[in-house]
Amino acid sequence: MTDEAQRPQRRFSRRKLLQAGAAGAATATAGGLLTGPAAAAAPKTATPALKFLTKWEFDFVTAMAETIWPTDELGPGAKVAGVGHYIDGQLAGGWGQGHRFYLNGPFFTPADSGHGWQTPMTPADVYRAFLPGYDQYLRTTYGKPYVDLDAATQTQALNDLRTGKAVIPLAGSTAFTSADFFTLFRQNVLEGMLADPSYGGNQEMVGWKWIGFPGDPMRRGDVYGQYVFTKKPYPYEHKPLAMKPYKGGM
Amino acid sequence: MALKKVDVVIIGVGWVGGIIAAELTRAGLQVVGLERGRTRGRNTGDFQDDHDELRYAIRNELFQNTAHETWTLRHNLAENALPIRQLGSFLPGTGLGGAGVHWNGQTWRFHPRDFTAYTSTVDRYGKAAIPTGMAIQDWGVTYDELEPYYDKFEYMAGIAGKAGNIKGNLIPGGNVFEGPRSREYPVRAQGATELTSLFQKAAQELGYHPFPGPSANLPVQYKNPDGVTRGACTYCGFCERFGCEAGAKADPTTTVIPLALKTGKFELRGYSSAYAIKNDGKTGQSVLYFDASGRIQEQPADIIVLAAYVFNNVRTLLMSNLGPKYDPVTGTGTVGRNYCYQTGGGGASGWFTGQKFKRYMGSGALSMAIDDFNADNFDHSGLGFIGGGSITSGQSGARPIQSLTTPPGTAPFGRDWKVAIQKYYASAISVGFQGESPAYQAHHLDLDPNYRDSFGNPLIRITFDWQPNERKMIAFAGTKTLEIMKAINPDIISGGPGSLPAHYDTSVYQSTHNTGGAIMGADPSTSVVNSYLQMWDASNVFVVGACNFPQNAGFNPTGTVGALAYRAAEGILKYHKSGGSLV
Repeated sequence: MTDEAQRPQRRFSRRKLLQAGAAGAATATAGGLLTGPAAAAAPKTATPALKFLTKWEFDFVTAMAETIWPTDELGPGAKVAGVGHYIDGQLAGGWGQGHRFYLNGPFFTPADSGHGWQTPMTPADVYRAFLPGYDQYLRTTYGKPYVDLDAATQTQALNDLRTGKAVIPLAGSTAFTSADFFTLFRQNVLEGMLADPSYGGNQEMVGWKWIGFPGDPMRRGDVYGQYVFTKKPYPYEHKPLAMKPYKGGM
Repeated sequence: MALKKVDVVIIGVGWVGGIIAAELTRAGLQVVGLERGRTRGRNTGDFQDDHDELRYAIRNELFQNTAHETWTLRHNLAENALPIRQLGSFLPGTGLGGAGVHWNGQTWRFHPRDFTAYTSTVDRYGKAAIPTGMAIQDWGVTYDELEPYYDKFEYMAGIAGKAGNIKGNLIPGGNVFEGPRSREYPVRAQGATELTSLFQKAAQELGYHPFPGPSANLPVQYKNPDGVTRGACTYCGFCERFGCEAGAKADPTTTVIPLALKTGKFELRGYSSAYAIKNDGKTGQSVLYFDASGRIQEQPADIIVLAAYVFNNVRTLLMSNLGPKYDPVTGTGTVGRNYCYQTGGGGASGWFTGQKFKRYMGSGALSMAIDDFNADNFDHSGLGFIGGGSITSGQSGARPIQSLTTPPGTAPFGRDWKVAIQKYYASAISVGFQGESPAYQAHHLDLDPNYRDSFGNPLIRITFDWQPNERKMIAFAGTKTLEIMKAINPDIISGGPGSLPAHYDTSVYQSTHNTGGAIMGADPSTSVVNSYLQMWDASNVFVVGACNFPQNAGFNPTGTVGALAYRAAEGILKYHKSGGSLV
């Protein structure tokens, strides 16, 4: 990270915002207008340590997440929102470790479509096994690792997954295609942008502010009944509140 | 060693188990309820400050954990069935209240014709209208016979709606296609929002008959005939997949189950997974279940009630060798017969460019609907399919992870997509279709030969796929939803003849409206239970729920499930008094 990025931002340019990464965030109003320098303050939450991903994996998925939901002059994206940390937390937790997945055998290739997840691997296993194969594909096809590709090539690289053009054998297996991985990853990015900030993503509620989701209605006393049957605008669409922190009852 | 015998043991304590427990304990019977999940620790207070889309809607906290128990699926009899390895297509609940905790609250009555689907179809279109392999049946009960039980369920749950037919008098503004009601809904209908009024107006202009979708989300405080008072909905937008913090959504844990517990005659046992009924082929003697420490317990009872979700009711019968197992090749036998689902698809989408709606507000059943293209409410001559579905436009709360929507042609990610989700999150409108799912001889439930649950028992195997009749129905539906969307006239429209995927897909959420497998009827050779949901083969065993539907109608099932539960409770009390077959 550059020194420049760590200083308070006075003006926004696409370049500076891209450089700013996790330290610089700009919020947006409904029309996509920047709200001003105050919005660029560094997230107040401390950056957590990694729980599952390696640093190499973390940087890789963070860069991929930025391609899905980029940081630009319109507003902050996945890196600023902490999507990498969100995904790290999810992979370390029950979901990533497959706590609700039925992973008993036998396993075999489905005869037709519509059978969903048919691998003995957990989501965490899939990330760990998939990324090196994808990295190899990128070096062969584009000559560089993902993080070093320019934005246009990164878009192309993700489309290679989405369309199935990139055939990435998952630890030698074809049970989980590159398109499957793209679907899984894109969903995780959406979660990291739009879940409650307590899960490590959506820091400063940048995802909610972007689309105009006001967060937990209970935080303002569950007042939607006064608005839902009227044309009256709800004034807090871009001033969301996250779920109430709980400090314990004793 | 068997536990002490009780009057009644109920397997599964959701809507069905809760209703039956309340009715029987208040009549003085001693009842044990076996619930595979928690029996406490989740009430309205626990859902406050808990509008957490990830936890409940994405990570599925309130649903069955498929690591322990799931289902397998094959699309036809020749295919190897594969396990559904994570939740997708449907989301059965677990724990006290079952799916009655996390449902949306859309509470319909099936049409009189739905209960005589076979006879009505043959009478109007001839036998040839029923495609080869289709196995629709009459229910062995009529709408008129069920009406008092529908009424009872709706007044207990406080259903908000507008009647369209009271004792044969048609009432504009209500559903004029519904069967006659004995009286008005207990609670006034929820109002129209900016969004749902667009649909209402468009449907009206086209000459259709829009009405407010019947809802278990209370628009006002309501005291039911049992004396239970619940508060009004806050329109927080977190209904489906969540518990209600206001108690406004009817839920067995806030209505019938407390009534049963108050009698002192209802003993709830949590983390108790029933798997079989010990029987001599004529009488159920006891229920075998795994307790919280995984040990097998035996609970004897005079009367045994299967009140779990569709799959486990059928599995328990199959595990018990009770009732003749269905054979999909010959079409004989009954247990596992006529598994059906719900046919979705055929919807239309629209996006406004200059207009935004408060889509994140809403409630699970807040909607406007038309019934003009459901059941046999329209002439099917020359259409090449039978059946239909309800068409609705709702505002159930646009939780953001699941509600981003962009017009066709938008890039799937990146800057343009990011701009599009901002532009369209609040300005999207959809018109949806929920279609019938007819029965087929090949579609059924049985025990999987390969895969087992964490107790070592076989999983249920589902044999099911989309058939040509439903493909034609969905294509037709798409033209109707598009017509309405065009009348709504948003700036961008997507729609047209609907289509179903190449095969039924277990990984994509569609509907938790699984039905059949222990169907009701008038003939023991083609049904498991009679019109009181009493087993033909064991008169002290009652099997109750959507598993009783011979095929599924174009509406959400809970209203009918609730009606069947009240009818079963009445039958059980009769049986307890005088024994024998109730029909």
